[in-house]
Amino acid sequence: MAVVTQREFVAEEAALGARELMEYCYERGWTDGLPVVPPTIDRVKAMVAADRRPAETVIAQHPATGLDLSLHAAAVNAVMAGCLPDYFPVLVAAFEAMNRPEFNFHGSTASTGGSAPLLVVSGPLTDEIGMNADVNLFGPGNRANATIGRATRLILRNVFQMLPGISDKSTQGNPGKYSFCIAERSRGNPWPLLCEAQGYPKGTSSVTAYAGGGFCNVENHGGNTPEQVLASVADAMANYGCITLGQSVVILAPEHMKIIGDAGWTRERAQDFLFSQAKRSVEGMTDVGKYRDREYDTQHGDGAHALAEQGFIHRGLTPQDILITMGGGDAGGHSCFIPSWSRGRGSIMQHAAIKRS
Amino acid sequence: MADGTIFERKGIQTAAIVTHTFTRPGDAMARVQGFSDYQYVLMTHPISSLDAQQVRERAEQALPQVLSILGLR
Repeated sequence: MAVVTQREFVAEEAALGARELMEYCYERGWTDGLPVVPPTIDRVKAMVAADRRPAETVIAQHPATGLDLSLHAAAVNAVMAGCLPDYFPVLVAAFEAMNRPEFNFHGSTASTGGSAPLLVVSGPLTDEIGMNADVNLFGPGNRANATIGRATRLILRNVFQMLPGISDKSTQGNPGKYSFCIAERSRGNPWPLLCEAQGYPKGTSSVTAYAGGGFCNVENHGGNTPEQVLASVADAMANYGCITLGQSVVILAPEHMKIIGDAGWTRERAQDFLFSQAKRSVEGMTDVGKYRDREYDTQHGDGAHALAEQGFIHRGLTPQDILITMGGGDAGGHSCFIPSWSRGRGSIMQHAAIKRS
Repeated sequence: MADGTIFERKGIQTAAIVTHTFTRPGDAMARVQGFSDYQYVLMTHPISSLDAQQVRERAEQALPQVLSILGLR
């Protein structure tokens, strides 16, 4: 038997301790299936200190159960997700946004629809904390993106008790339920950043929370006009499986955005185009069993948008229901459309300023 | 289920309707709201794909349970 040195023994004991702590978290049902960082007191204190308010400050309340999310509880889950304290203000702002009744975060997390809160972080903070707005945007590899999104899920699970099969009845869920957080790309973006368009003062970053129902890749390498590129996006938005009165998130690839931006199109023009094109006829909707009078009346009744065409169901109620911005790597004609959870039961994306400590 | 228990707290007798696949979340929600033995109407799942006539039949099937929970039969 080999002789174990003192240093090796200490290292092994430390490793075993970490493993036991990790297993303890599994036994308590605190994980998303992946190992978590043990939320030791010093780590949690460091996380809470990233917000100047007292640890017991309530930042969100579950509308159906009345369960509270305190800064302390948020910090515990941020630690477990692997967040650094610098990321904490993003997580806090995300829950402040989701706490508004219009977001309906009980419904959107409990429903069979299986949506996940997509967080789109916009502004200078994204670079400061090292978020990824570039290549492999929705994929793994960036600590801030991965752990802020993961902490969101752990809070829903551990604080608000949205437990699969019990209070979370997602039929299939979606991969974003592990983590669904991106940064908006500012480099080469011809349009005002979301935080600017949302009206925040210069230098203020924001997070937009959206109940996202999955991910639809929009491939178009041949189109070289705004109409061609956006027509393929609109088709994805209006496919029979996705079309509802719900909102939309569209993240344009830089290649696609260059075509649109170079042609002088504004965000508003692109929104108008997508809204007018993302539609299905009443006959077609009836054929697949998805037509409902009340939805048609909602879209075409009093206050209907001028672009809502008679005889058609459009995606969303107005062009402003479509969030569009840019993200991803320089190469590739791959944009994406992310459908929403139910408009019928009320789920409207919300944004909040990220307050630096 | 949450709505049903909220009505009950306000003194309004309520018959919540739950389809059988939602009994676990329904029971959990009732427990969280402080109604651990909450009685509700159990209905076959699904409902959303039924036509108007089928919905009427389901309602007629559920009626005795509704009346019983409301203490009317």
